[in-house]
Amino acid sequence: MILTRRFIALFLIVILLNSTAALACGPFTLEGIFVHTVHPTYPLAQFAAGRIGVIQPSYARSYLYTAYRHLSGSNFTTSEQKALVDLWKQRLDFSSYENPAEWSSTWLEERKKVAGVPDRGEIEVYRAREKPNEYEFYVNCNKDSFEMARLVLTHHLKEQGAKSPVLRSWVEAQDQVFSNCGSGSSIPDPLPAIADMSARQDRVYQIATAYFYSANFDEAKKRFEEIVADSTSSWQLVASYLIARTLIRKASLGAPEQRQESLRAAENQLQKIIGDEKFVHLHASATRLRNLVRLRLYPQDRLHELARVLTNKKQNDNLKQDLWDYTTLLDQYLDVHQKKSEVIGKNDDLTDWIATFQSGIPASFDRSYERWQATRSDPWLIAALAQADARNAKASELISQALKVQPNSAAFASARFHAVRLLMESGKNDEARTVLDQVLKNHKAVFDESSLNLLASKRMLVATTLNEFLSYAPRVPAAISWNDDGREIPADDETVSAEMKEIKGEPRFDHDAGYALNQRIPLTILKTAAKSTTLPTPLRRDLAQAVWLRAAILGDTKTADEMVPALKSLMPELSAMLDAYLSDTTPQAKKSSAIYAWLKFPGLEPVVDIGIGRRTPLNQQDSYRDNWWCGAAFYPAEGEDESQVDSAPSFTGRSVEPLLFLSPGDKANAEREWNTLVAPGAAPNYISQQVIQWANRTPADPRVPEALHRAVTTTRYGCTDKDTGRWSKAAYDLLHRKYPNSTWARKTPYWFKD
Amino acid sequence: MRFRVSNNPWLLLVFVLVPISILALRPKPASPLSELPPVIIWAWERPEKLDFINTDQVGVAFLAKTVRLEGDHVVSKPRLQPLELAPGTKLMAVVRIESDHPTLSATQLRKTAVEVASVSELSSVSAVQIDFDATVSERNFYRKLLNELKPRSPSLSITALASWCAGDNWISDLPIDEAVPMLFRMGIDHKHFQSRPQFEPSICAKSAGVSTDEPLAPPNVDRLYIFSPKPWTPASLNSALETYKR
Repeated sequence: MILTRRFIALFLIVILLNSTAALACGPFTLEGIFVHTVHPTYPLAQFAAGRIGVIQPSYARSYLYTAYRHLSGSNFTTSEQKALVDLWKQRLDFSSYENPAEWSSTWLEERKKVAGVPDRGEIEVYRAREKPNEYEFYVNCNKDSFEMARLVLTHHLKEQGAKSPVLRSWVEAQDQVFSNCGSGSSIPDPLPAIADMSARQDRVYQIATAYFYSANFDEAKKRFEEIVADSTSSWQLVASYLIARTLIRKASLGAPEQRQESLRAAENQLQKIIGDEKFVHLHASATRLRNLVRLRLYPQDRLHELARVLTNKKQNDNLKQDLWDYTTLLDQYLDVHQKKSEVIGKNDDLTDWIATFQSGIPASFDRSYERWQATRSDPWLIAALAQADARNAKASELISQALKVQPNSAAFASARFHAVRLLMESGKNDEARTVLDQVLKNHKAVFDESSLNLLASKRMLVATTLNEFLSYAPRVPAAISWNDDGREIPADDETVSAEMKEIKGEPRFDHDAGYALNQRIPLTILKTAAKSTTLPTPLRRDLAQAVWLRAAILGDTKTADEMVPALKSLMPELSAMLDAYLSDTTPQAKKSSAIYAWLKFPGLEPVVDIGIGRRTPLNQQDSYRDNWWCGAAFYPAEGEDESQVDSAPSFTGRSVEPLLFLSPGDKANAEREWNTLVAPGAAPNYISQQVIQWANRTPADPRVPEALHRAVTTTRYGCTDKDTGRWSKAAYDLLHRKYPNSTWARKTPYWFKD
Repeated sequence: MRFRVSNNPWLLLVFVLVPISILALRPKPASPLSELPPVIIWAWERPEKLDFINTDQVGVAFLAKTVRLEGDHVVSKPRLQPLELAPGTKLMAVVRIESDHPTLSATQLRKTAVEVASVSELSSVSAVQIDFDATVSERNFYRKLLNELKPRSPSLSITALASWCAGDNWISDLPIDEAVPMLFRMGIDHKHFQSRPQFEPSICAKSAGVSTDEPLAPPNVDRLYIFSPKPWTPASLNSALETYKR
């Protein structure tokens, strides 16, 4: 029985807090993540090892803790790094499901060895709470419950044999115990006084556990206490421990007003066990359970206690659980209850730093600067830098300090990035460029992919020539992600199509580069860019088609003509259309030919793609209506949702200033061109209008009926706005009025209303 | 006095055909969906305290269970997080289905149907909603599942990828009471769905799903489902109702 007791002690593991993040769903669309804002670049092991890059205030708090430790010069041992990665994996990877139906399988298999016991099916492990909490379930019987029963059964089988009626009775009683796991209350009968004493003691224990699983905690506690009082029972020690578990479960599931009292009683009980050598084999489990109780009873004390443990340089074998508990508590204070003031300034530098670093309020800079002045520590220097802007009187001092950080420091990447950012905000672009060039040349390895993209973005903005701009505009996304839940998790190769796998590692335009090319650079410069071989071919192809179509729409026939040879070589599928365009002699005819080409190639658009962009072949309609420049229906671009912004923003490649290689005249021209381009609203409106004008101008052109048909099609399969229905009807009416017998009229039975 | 019906064909008409006609013309019992408020907020797997809602105006669709199709297994996990409700709250139980290389066998179908159907037994649940981003190869399984469930569920709603309602229209003949196109978490390239969705099957036209962190023009639908990435508060609900003019 000693052996059994030891097994029991080993397998009594508490069920800890169980929480998962919210999920949502939407269409399956891959996204290029250039700069991570939720967590660092994968693989996360490099972050745990100290390659922390530019720290984002928006990172989850377990990463900020890790960054804090590295910034403080307190690195992690190999086993601690593994614990960190395990925690992140568990939190980010929802696919590692356990199948609770399998928990009872070994018990059920062992049970079959007992003669005369009928088979039984799966055992439900979840039990619903009582009203008014009936929609919430809890794991009532965990894996260890079944494993312990199996071990006891194995022991009994060995001692009593498979045909023992005593054993069969024990199994039947155990079946009753487990029948309470899912619902109900089934309590085994006590054995008569004539039964063997050991069997009677087993039964008393089974009765107590049956009360426990049927959520009758007061009765369960009473029964366990009776077992504790029986010094001859082999269940005496374990029952002591189960009293604490019963009290904890009562605190979780019972009346709220008795919660604190139950937790305090559990704490006392566990303290007794931990302080008594005869429970030595239960000490580890009891300590874990006591920590859980303390977490609930004294959350603020426990938070700071955990912070102290987590910042202690001594090896922490319990790092994963401590960090899990710490961040769970901190999330409660900062997000759920929004009580930052209750956790900062309590002689707990870690919590103070995380709360301040993530805060978006102006006072946070003062707090960070003050703490940096007091400590001269790197975590607070980085916090002050991240929260400073160039107007701040302390900016120069901070920049100067940031530039002193050495490359072997964990703070180097963040310090250099913010120094550059503040220099640029101060108009000191030459200094910023010098710092950037030095970093990119000598210290690239310090930066992860996401941080490198941040640097490239800054370098692009201080480029003094077009060629420099084009060198830094293309960037490889740090991850390709479905990002359907905002967690920026790289897509699993298995779930990504072969075509998408090809774009992995391929440079694309992030928001800043795309915005600059689409809205800040005039055609006169864009045409040079499109011919430059500095851009990778796929991006040059995208830019070339954008420049040609934009020039054609804006009536800049000279630029459009100039683009034709380059475009023909980059997109041979357009050759016939481009030849037709070139053969036209008047600007109006050229424009009509360009519109005709656009109608036949729905993938053409007068802008470059941002991110992964459209993947449907140029001449095919995209099933998500990304046809004929879908984005035109949505300018001015929607702003970010700021309604929920209560924390410091992350740093991303979205800024588009200063673009030094452009003159004020260039920028003015670009703005004028852009405004002309977007003025007509949704592209199908513009296309229909152009086709109608063309039809009225040259009704005999054999392409006109087809163009009218296709114009109506754009109003159905393109992106539209409130005026589109009107244009759809106009094109439809004209087609049916002037060309009623044409094939194209027959192919156009409907127009499409708004 | 007793009528001898058989001798009078007109009386036969009156006594037999008219009641049949009346029965036939009587409006069908309204789907429980139509009894739900015009706004439903999703309560996902996290603690939610929703005792402040105006139950005439707002209902709750709570994640009741997650069912995972893993190989040939069906792994089911009920809601493990608290859900505090105001008395009289109209409820919809949501079952999220996830898959990992499922066999989609008949056994798996049967087990899945049992798991989903069980949530309709939860007290005060007037409808069941399934959230399953079925891939093309899983559609046939999904269709069969819905056929199995229809007779067993009070009212059946599904969430729909926006593409299912625009272009990739495979859901128009599913045995469901509504499909809720999800107008959020669609990636940067597909904002056009959010702005002016043109949803094809009528089953998609009555409701839409939006999120508080991706505000968009109020969709013109009878019932709006609202998701919040953070736990609901009175302020966040009021703000959402204001944004969507409800």
